Amino acid sequence: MNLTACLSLSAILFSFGIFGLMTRRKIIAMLLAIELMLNAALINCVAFAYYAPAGADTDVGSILPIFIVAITSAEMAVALAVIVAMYRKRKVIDIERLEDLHD
Amino acid sequence: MDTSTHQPVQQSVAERLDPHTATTPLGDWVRELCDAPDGGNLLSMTINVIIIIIAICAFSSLTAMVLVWMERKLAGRFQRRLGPTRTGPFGLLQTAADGLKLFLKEGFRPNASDPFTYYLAPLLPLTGAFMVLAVIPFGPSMWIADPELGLIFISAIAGLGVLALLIGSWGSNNKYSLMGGLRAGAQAISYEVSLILCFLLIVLASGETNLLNIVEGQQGNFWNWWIIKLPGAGFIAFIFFIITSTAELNRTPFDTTEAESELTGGFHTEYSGIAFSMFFLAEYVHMFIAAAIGATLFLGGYNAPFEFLPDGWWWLMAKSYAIIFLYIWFRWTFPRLRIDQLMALEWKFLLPLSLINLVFAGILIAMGWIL
Amino acid sequence: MEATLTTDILFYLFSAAILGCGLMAVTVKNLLHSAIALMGCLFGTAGLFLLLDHEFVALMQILVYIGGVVIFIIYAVLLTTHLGTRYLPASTLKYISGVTLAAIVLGLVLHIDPQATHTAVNPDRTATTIDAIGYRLLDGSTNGFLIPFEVISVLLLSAMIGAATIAKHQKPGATNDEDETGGSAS
Repeated sequence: MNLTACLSLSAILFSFGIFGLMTRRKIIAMLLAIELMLNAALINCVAFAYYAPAGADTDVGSILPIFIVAITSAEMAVALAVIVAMYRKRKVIDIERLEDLHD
Repeated sequence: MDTSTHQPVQQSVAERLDPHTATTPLGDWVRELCDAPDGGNLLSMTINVIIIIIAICAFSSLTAMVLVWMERKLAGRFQRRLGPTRTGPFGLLQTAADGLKLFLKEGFRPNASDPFTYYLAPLLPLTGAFMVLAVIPFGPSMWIADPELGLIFISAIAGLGVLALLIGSWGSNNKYSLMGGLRAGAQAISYEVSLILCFLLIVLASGETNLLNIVEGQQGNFWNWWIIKLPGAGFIAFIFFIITSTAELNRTPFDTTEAESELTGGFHTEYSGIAFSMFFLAEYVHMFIAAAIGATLFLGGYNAPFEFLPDGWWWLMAKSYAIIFLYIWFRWTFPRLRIDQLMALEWKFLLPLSLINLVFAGILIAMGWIL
Repeated sequence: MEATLTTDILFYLFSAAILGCGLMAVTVKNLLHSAIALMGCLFGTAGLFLLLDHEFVALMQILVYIGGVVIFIIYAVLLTTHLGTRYLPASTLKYISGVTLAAIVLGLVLHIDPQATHTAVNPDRTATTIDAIGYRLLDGSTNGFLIPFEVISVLLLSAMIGAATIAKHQKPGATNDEDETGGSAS
C-alpha cells in the first residue's frame, strides 16, 4: 500500500466512470457513473492527506471531502427530481429518446 | 483494525473505572491466555471474533424471542385477553414453536421475481443490527467495539435499514410490495432527519460522539441523565426520539409500510418461510437496539439511578425494556396514520420543532443553565 | 496506521472490491443491480478510508453516499422502472468511443501519477479528530473554511427546495399514493 497504488486505484475507477458515462443510455445509470468518478476524486483527496509530507495541512483531507459530498448530494437531489418529473410527463428515461428536449 | 487510534480512549475510560467493580473483560482474558510472542495475537483475535459472533447471534435471537412473547402477551392484556398460555409456562415457548414452524415452512420464490434482489434483501437488516449491537456499551466493561465516532457510526448504519425494504420490494415484483417499499423509503429518509437532530442534541450537550464517554458523562444520580439534566430540552428531545424511532422501526402508528388492511403485508407480501423470519427477527432486534440507544443517550445507559446502587448491564436492560414497553403500548393504542399525515407530521411539525429545540438546548448550554 | 502485511492484504482486498463493484456498476444491465454494485463500491471505499486513518470521511461516506444518495437513486429506480423494463444495449460506436476515451484518460492519469514524490508516510502524522474538523470549518481567518461552509449550506438548502419544487405534482386533480410519497421525499 503506497501513494502510487492509491492513485492508480482511483485513476482506474475514474476511467470506469467515464466508460459508463459514454455507454449508458438511461439517465440514472449516467448519474451512477458520475458518482463513481466523484468517488475516485474522494480517494485521491484522502490518499494525498495520508501521504502528506511533514508540516502539511492534513485536516484539509477531511474537510475537502465534506464539500465534495455536499455538492454531490445537492446535484443528485436536483437531477433525480428532474428525472422523476420527466418520467411522470413522458414515461421515458432513455437519453436517446429525449433528444427533442433541446427544442 | 484501527486499534492504534482507539487505544487511548479505551484506556482513559478504563482508568476512570472503579477498580473494585470493574471486571476483566472476556477479550482481555483470552488475550492473556494466548499471550505468545508471535502468532498468539492472531490466535486470540480469532477466538475473540468467534466469541463475539456467537454472543451477538445468541443475544439477538434470544432478544427477538423474548420480545415477540412480550408483545403477544401485552397485546392480549391490552385487549382484555390472556395471550399465549399453552406452550410452556406462561406461553413462554410459544415463540420458539412459531420460529420452528417458520423454519420448517417451504420457502418459495414467485416465478416473475428477480432472484438476486429477492434473496439479497432478507440478509441485510440483521447485518445492520449486528453492526449496531457491536458498539452499544452494555456495561462498564461489556462492549465489543468502542469507536471514537460511535454515534455517527450508529446514524450511518441506521440509515441503511431501509435498503433491504426497497430492494426486496422491487425484487418481489408485486405492486403491493413496491408500494410498501416506496412508502418505507419516503418514511425512513424523512424521519432520519429528526432522529439525527436528536443525536446531535446529545453530542452538543455532552461534547462527545463516543458512546462510552456519553454514558460515563451521565454518572451519579438520576438527575444527571440528559433527559433531566438539560431542563426541558432533554425531555422534548426524548419524546421526539421515541416518535422518530417508532417511525424508523415501521411500527404502528407509523406502519404504513406493511399496513395489512391496505397493502396485504407491504414489502414482505411475497416472502415466506425462512426469508420472512429473517425480516421478522430483524424487526424485533431493531426494536431492542432503538430502545438501548435511547436508554444510552437519554437515560444514563448502564448507570444506576442512585449513586449507592451498583452500575451494570441490568440497568441498561431495565431501561431498554421500559422503552420497549412504550413501543408496544403505542402499537396497541394508536390508530395508523395515513401516509400524507405521516409526511406532514415530520416536515411540518417534528423537523421545525427539533431545530428550535436544538437552538434552545444550545442557549441552555451556552448560558450554563444545566442541572 | 503503519504499513504491515495485514494492511497490505486489506488494501488489495478493498481495491479488488472497489474495482469489481465499480465495473459491475457501469456494465450490468439491470439498473437496480448496478445501484447495488455502486453501494458495494462505496462500502469498499469506506473501508479504504478506515485503512487510511480517515474515519470521519469513511462514516460520512456511509451516512451521506450510501444512506442518502444511493437510497435516493434506488428510490428513483423504483419509481421509473419495473422488472419488465427492457434495457437496450448501447451502439457499438458508443462502446468503442467509451473504451477509447476511458483508456486515454487512464493513460494520461497514470502517466502523471508516478511523478508524485512524497510516497512515504510522515512518521509524526496524527489522525484528524472530529474536533479539529469542526474548529477548522468554523474558523473565519484565512486558514479556516467559514465562508465555503456557509455557502455550501445555502447551496444544499436551495437544492433541497429546488428538488421539492421540480418533483412536485403539477396537475391539481390527479393524485395517487406513489406521486405523493415521491413528492414528499424529495
